[in-house]
Amino acid sequence: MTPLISVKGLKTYFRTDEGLVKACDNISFDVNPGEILGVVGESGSGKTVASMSILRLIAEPPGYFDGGEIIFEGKNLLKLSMKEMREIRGNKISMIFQDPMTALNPFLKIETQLTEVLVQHKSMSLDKARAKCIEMLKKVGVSLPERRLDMYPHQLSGGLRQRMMIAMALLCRPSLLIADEPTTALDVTIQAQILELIKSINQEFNTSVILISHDLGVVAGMTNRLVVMYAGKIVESGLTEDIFNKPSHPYTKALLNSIPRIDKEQKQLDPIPGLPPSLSSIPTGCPFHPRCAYAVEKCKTTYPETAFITSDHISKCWEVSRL
Amino acid sequence: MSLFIAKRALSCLITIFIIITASFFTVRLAPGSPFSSERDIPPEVLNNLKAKYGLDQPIEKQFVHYLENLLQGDLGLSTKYPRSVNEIIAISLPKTLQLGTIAVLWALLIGISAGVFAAIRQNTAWDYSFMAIAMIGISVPSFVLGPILILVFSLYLYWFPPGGWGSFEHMILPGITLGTVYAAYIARLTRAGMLEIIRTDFVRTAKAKGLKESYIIWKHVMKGGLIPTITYLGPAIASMMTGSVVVEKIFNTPGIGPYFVDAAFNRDYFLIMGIVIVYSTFLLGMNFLVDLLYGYLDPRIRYD
Ligand SMILES: Nc1ncnc2c1ncn2[C@@H]1O[C@H](COP(=O)(O)OP(=O)(O)OP(=O)(O)O)[C@@H](O)[C@H]1O
Ligand SMILES: [Mg+2]
Repeated sequence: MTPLISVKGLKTYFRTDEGLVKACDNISFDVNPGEILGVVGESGSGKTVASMSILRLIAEPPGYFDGGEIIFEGKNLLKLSMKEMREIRGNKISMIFQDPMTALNPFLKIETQLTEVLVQHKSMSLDKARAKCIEMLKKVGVSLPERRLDMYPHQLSGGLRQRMMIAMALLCRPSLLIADEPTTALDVTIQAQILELIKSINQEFNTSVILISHDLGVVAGMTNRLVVMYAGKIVESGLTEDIFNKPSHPYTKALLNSIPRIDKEQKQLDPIPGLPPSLSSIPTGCPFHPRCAYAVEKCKTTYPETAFITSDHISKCWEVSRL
Repeated sequence: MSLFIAKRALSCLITIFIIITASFFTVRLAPGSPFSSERDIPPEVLNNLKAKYGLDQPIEKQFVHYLENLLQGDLGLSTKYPRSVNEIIAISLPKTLQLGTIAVLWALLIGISAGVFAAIRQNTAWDYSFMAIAMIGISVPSFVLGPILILVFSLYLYWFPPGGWGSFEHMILPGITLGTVYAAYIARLTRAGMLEIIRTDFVRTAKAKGLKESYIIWKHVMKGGLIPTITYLGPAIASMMTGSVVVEKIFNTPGIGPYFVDAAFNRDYFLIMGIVIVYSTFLLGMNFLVDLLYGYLDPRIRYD
């Protein structure tokens, strides 16, 4: 199967006052048509930067691409002009953001914010665009869509706003939806509804999804495959099932032990000791070694080679055999 | 909404009443009198003069009388000029307003376009040079800028008359002199306001939707980005429209500005009061308008 999008060796760096921040350091992953890929990792591990890199939303400067390519429909997104990039954004690849409270423009009616996407990409008339938006709002479970279109964001609840964001993202039927922690800012019950919605969209529209989360619990039941990020690097990737059954990186293991599970007996939840490193001073060797219970001398000096657990389950750890 | 307007109108009236009361008594408390400069006035003539203007009455009575006349639109007589205050204002205020309009247009046009442009070209040579010019505009006082403009554009280039009144050309140099400092402030405020919005999450969303940059600036950034500017515009427009003593003196404009200074020097009680009322009405009116504009710009603001 040819992947829908293929990120190869992506390096997104930032020049900051504290030094060079390697927010994405040699990141590679594929998203296959119709699948949901999970990206997990602690705060600051580079998940948002990775997804914003796909849409080229990184502020340059201070950010820049030091290498790599992002192949989508046979083209390298990193080489496209801004005009070509605009034709992809919101049209073929859409993104929804963490905080629906701030992601919508408080000064504009919902109608304006939805219809403008169709006017821009499909050159639709406002009337036609409005009708299309109403149709989409119904699909994402917004009741009274005509009334909501006339409202401003502050008149809607958080869950409704996120539904608006999702509707907005889907208007042009993109082949890829990037959801960057879409539920982190919402109540638990609303979280479940939004996740359910994303899953049903994936099935109904056959839209591929990159679901970013710092919560393994969220991605467990949602995703086909997983990418685990730590300090700007991918430390483990593979089928979600495989990773849950046989976590093959100490960091993934630690993440799994820090969430409550119903499928395994747990004596207690273990938070990961220590803090994630600052990306401008990443430890040498394996970046996880200062927090790792399995670390040996080699881990402090040399970055691990790729270990294949199965043909598509890989880990970046010297000590895989001991896990 | 209409309740808000009614409430605000009422509070404006109360404010104006307080201003009138305070200035009426302050002016009277100041040492000197309208007739103190003219020496050798025989006591009986002085008494006649005082009677003519009602100054022989007890002060509370004078105040009540003044308010009664004011309600009928009568601002009283000037003690210095052989005219009523109404006449003086009717003749001089329109000129000041015309000059003020030029100044406002200049300040808005230059200020907002420079501010917006600097913001969308943040940290480029354009941005730096616009902001440097704005800094100069803020620091150079009008009594320096005015003569420089006269020197260059009247005495050297012969483009505009150096002063006086009569045609549109007469208004240009004083208008620019008056408006420049405001243009500079507006440019800086606009830039800051726009930048604040450009950095928000919702502008990132707009970019992620594939909208054109010019559209994003116009539709998503402008409204919120101009709010700090609008706040400043209330008092700024009021003070531009009521002119400037300095500018009107430099350019010999027969506006209301010089009268204010003269009136103060001459203790021209009723003229001072008249001009104070004009000024404060303008200021309150502009701030009122600004409050209404807020509601139009920011839907989160509710009037209740
Ligand atoms: N514009 C920027 N300038 C400098 N550094 C940046 C910039 N944007 C991101 N970074 C850095 O990149 C790193 C990765 O940030 P990113 O937002 O991708 O983390 P994340 O995994 O999404 O975390 P979270 O779970 O908190 O959203 C952080 O250390 C951050 O400081
Ligand atoms: Mg993030």
